[in-house]
Amino acid sequence: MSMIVVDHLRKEYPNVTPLKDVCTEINKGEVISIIGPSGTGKSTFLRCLNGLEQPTSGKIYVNGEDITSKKCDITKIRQKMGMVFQSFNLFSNLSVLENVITAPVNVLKMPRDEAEKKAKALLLRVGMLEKADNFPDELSGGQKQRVAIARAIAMDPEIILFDEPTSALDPTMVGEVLTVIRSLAREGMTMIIVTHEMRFARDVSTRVFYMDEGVIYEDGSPEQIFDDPKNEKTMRFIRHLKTLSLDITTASFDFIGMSTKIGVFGQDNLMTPKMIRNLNLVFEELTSATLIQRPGTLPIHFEVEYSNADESAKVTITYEGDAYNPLEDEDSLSASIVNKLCTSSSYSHDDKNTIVLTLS
Amino acid sequence: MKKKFTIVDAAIVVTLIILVALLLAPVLFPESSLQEIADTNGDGKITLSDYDGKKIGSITGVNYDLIINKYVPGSTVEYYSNYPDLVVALKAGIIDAFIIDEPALAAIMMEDPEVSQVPENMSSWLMSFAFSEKSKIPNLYNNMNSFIALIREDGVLDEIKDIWFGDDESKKVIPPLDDLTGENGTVKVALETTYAPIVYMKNEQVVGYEADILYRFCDHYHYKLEFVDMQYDAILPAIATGKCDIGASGLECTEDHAESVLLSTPHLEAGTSLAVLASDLLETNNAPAIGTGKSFSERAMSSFEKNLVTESRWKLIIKGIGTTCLITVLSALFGSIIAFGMCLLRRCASKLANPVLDAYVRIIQGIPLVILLMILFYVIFANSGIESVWIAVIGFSISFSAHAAVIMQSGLDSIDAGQEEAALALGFTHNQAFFRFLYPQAALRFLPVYRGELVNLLNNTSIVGYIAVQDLTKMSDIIRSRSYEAFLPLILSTLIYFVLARIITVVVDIVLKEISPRRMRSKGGEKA
Ligand SMILES: Nc1ncnc2c1ncn2[C@@H]1O[C@H](COP(=O)(O)OP(=O)(O)OP(=O)(O)O)[C@@H](O)[C@H]1O
Ligand SMILES: [Mg+2]
Repeated sequence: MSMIVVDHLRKEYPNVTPLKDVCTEINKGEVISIIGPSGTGKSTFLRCLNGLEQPTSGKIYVNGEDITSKKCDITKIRQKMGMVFQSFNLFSNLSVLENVITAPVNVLKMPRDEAEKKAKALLLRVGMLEKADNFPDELSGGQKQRVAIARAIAMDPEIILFDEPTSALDPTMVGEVLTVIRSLAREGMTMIIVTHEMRFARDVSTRVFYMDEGVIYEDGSPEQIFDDPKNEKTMRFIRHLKTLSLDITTASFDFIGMSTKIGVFGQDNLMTPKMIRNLNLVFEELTSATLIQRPGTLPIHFEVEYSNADESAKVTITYEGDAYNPLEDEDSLSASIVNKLCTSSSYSHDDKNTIVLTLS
Repeated sequence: MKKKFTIVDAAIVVTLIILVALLLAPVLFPESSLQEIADTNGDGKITLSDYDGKKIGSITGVNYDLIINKYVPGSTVEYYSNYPDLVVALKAGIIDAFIIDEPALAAIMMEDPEVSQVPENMSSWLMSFAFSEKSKIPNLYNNMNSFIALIREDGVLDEIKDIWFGDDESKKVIPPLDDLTGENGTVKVALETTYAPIVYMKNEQVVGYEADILYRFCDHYHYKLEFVDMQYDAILPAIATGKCDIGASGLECTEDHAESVLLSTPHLEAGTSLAVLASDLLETNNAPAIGTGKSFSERAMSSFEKNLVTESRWKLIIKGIGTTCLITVLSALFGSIIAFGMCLLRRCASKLANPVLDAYVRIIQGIPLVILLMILFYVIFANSGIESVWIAVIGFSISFSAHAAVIMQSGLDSIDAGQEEAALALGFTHNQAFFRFLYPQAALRFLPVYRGELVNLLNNTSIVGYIAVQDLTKMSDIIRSRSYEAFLPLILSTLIYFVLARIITVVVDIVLKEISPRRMRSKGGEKA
């Protein structure tokens, strides 16, 4: 029997209807990633699953019990269904250890020493034991999220819901949280993870939902969704997610900072080191080496669109000033370097100058 | 753990020193009236006409306007609510003279040599008791009129006058009120006890000329007697609304008063005099000022003696502290419970509750406290027989609840919604989430503001004198009425209020520390 059955779920708010008609079944042991554009009801869907939101219509069965019915004791269901939030939501008046034991002790009535022993083991596992006596506001984002995960596991849930667990984190802290979730996946924990980390979703899940237009728009294995999406919308989402735009407004802009952003963007999207290097070269040669030197070109907009599927990058540069194409300047070293790197290039000028390059 | 001396403490000390210095200034450098009184008509004496065009003080309860118009028509009149304030104002040079009945002035002059009397009589006026038409005791008014006629006949009234207007202190006693048998009911008398020798406090008991008549009256007709001490201006309303049966403390028998209440036949024809500074009346200006002969420490000692030791006046202060604390603590308690209930209602009840609660808060916060108390005292509980202390507790509880509810709610609103969601997601119920996580977190945030509101509450209780409660402020007024001195009673009550406020602050700080999560960590740190 399926662990969770969602039957024509609909959720309306006064001015939007994020969930129009969601139907699915979720089985024990599955790790489901939910991806999709912002505002398409991913969080709303998760919150309906544990009763934090009341559906407008439709039914949700958890282990056969209809949680939308008035007779259902939702607190019992929630005890078996952990939830990890984007903003951690650790209890700020409790220490790390107490955050983990409060629900087992007060809800499950577990003896305190047993709960503490278990909590310490869990904290050790997420690498947070040495902070057991600290308070949430003394932890970094990644540490808070690891504690929040330990707090959810302490209830021995049958399933854990993650709502963008890494979205509020610095890039440097994302890894530590994902590692913990990965290890849970390896142990066979049933999980539903709303995430924007495509690479992670691809590695860790057994199934991916692409949500859009109030429904589960596409449901399939990670390979199928990421490499061979059936729907045009899914494909566009998977590609377009990988865009980076940089704006240069002064001649003394933060060159190092922007180069670093390109590097991070490349790594996040699994680009080859060569591709990252080439993007950086194009950026340097066209902005600081040429356009910046010319009066009247500011502001300059630099945008990279990367497609994982064919591993190609499209670079679009727009800038102000008279018609001027630096790539046609035959004496320039920059022009020859850039022309060598890209597979195609085009230039146009209407009220602004636009250069479009393709790298692969 | 030893507390460090912080900047805040230093600031408090400096403020206190400045306060004391300000209050001390008039004692250390006694100064006479700003306007020199001169013998303008050149007859070698200071007379009434020399005060024409000056500032004259008058009590609010007696209509002296006619007399002032007749004798000193060019003067500006300032109104005060009791005689001690008039004495203090005179000595501070705020007014040049004040108008007063002769017996009262005699009593003041006995206590305070700095005050004297212009030796010229003005018109006299008639003193009566006021009676309520709503009194539940039958025939009370008629009985009093017959009684006054009776004691006038048999000379007892003159005897009473001799006792209270004479100077034999040992005769100035009234038997304990408990000795009255009271078969015919209890007579409640509204009066102002800063009016020697008519009605005043001595050895924690209400005594005086009128008090004596009332005692004998009640003894004669087998009533029980209860004195209700209130502000002068509050006496007639208390009678008109039936809150008390008889009004006393030098009420004038005029047609003004007779409209709202019944007035007994007069029992005293009081002469009117002008009270002035004794130094004004000395013919030459180089005469030594009174009081300068004594050293500062001698003056301080005698002040201490007069204000606290004589007639065990310190006991009044202790009683006053008790009343002030009682009202503050109970109002804080009930007010907080109501406020907490309001927060719970906002959480659980239907949407309808919110506008109702908002309206409650807005109305209560919009009414001045004194008026709220008066409404409770004179209108809502006018005939309930509830003691005025409890009416004060009710009033302050209501007022405090409105303020505390806003404070608590703002604390709760500042807690991120995620805290409750996290608790629910773990299987806690809504109520558990509130009591375990939301309220404790909110308390940490709102307690510092709440602490300030408690101190406000304490300070605001000083207005309960308006509804006949004898709190610390009222007691210090009573002492001032007997010692005719403002400095010591005022500085003493200031200090007491200050200490009480500190106690409140310290208690709340302890609670705050107790519930603060850091406490547990520092404990853990000590263990390690
Ligand atoms: N309590 C609410 N009241 C009204 N509208 C809401 C409420 N919660 C969410 N919405 C709306 O519902 C829509 C879906 O929101 P939801 O948070 O589920 O999107 P999401 O897919 O999780 O987006 P994101 O990726 O940005 O987190 C949004 O348009 C949002 O504004
Ligand atoms: Mg969301």
